[in-house]
Amino acid sequence: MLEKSNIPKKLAKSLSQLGIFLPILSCAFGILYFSFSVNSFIFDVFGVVLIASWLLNILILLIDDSYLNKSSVIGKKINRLTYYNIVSFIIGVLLITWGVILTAFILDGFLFVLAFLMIIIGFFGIEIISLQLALTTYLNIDNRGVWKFE
Amino acid sequence: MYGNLNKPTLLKSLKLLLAILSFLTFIIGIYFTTILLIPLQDGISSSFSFFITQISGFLMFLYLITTILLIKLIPTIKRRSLVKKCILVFGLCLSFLNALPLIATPISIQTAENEFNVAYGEDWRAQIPSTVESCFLPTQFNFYNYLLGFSHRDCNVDTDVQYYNNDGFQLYFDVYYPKLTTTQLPGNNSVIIKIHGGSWQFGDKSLGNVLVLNKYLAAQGYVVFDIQYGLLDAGGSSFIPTPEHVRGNLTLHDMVYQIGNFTKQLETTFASTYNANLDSVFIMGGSAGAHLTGVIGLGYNDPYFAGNFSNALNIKGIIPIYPPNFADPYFTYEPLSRLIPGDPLSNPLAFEKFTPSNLADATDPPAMIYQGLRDDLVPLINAETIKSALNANGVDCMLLTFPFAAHASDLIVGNTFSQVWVYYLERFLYLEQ
Repeated sequence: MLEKSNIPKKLAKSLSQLGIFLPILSCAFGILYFSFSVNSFIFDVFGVVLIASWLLNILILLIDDSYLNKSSVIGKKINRLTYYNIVSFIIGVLLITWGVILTAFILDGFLFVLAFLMIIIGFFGIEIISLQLALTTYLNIDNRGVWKFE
Repeated sequence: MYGNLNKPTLLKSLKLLLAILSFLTFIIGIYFTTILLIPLQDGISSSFSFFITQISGFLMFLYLITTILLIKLIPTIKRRSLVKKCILVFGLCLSFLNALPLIATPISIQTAENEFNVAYGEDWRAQIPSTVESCFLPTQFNFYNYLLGFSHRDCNVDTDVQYYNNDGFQLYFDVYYPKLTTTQLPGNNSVIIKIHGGSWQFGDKSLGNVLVLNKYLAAQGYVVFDIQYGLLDAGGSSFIPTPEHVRGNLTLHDMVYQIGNFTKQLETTFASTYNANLDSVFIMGGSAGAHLTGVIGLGYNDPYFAGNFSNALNIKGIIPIYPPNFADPYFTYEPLSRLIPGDPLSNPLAFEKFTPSNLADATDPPAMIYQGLRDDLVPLINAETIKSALNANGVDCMLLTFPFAAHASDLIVGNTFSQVWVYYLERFLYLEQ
């Protein structure tokens, strides 16, 4: 069903455009948040953007897997990128999870710094790989032979 | 050429490894999701349930991405499309089930709103000035605190201050107090005495007592005393860190005596050291600490405990977190039966007085209780009984319940349950101080 459904190319293009915008916005919020760690309504928007960018990355992965022509040269390259994206995403989520658990029990010292770094690396790592995938998808969306839309 | 020959083999091996890891993730995912939804009584599952419910949002993302990975890894076989659909449906179901604690958050918020409306009237928010409100969490739940850790301001911390040295026992406390001038903060130097949990046999101040919350409240102008007390040494072991020097052949009477001793030391020594406001004191504790919170907070004025506590402290509220209530049956089985001498027939008064709901009277302070609805260690009936007893005496008692929350589900302060809890807790503390 996934291969045969007729999701228009325009939708894939729009999603990848959004997939470029959201991680950039999320990173900008992230820099603000890690610099001024206070509870504010502004950061409520950040939380929604963050979740949306993660979910959108998963959606783009699904679209790429379904419509990519993996026998073409560029298709192969994008397919390989999706594998890197998935593995990095998993590592990122695990880093954040352990970081959040550690910071709940440790308030200072080496372990606290390590946990904080785990959260930062995990967060920015996921956003950067999401941006990379969305950008690659967008830049190649009009390339003939790369997709199975036609 | 040698490299080219091995590249496909390497890629195949990598794909196989990823497939094995994905299947393992799914198998573990099924186990964790079962723990999330169904109470399993074995020790390991019970211990896991403390944490799984708190990080299920992260697990949801892991299962989602693993589903995509597994779909990509399906080799070209007959009925590939069907296998793909099955994996997709399974992965989405697993992810959805793990999203349930997040989805249920509005239910917790509505319950808390109802409890506050009953206790303080529907316009209770109007009682909090906007300058104070700006110091509090702006919303009951947000994703950034959940996904990136709970943000909080800094405070002063003094650790390992001795308050008890008697009968071979040395007991200490950590104190968290504000950095800023307290007139600018909502806490007004009110005191919070925090009593840790651990089945009356294990646990410690600090690591075992939600220290992020201690820091958060101190930064809001509260003076938080995170105290040790003597524990029963029944010879068992636990994954909960427990210092050896606090363990001994102790009863509940001893524990209450030691904490009572702390209240006296607070009056004579520590209040002036830390500029603590004794006219506004709260007692808070989780699990076994919640039981002691109930006994001390509601028994403060009870003749049974006469002379045990300082008379200078004005208890403005108690905050029991998943509190055990019934001395019978909790203290009738080994090893906890050692906590009260005798049994309910030979020593009925002690069993009566160590059941917090029995201590409720019209002069008691109001209470705010945290209770997970998936708590199989201390079920809801305990909290409900305390609430009914207080309400029957005309005392406000707010019972905040959390669907899918297991025992000790407040340890990671940014999780779905704790965020809602902290939002209402800081408002309760302000309204009652």
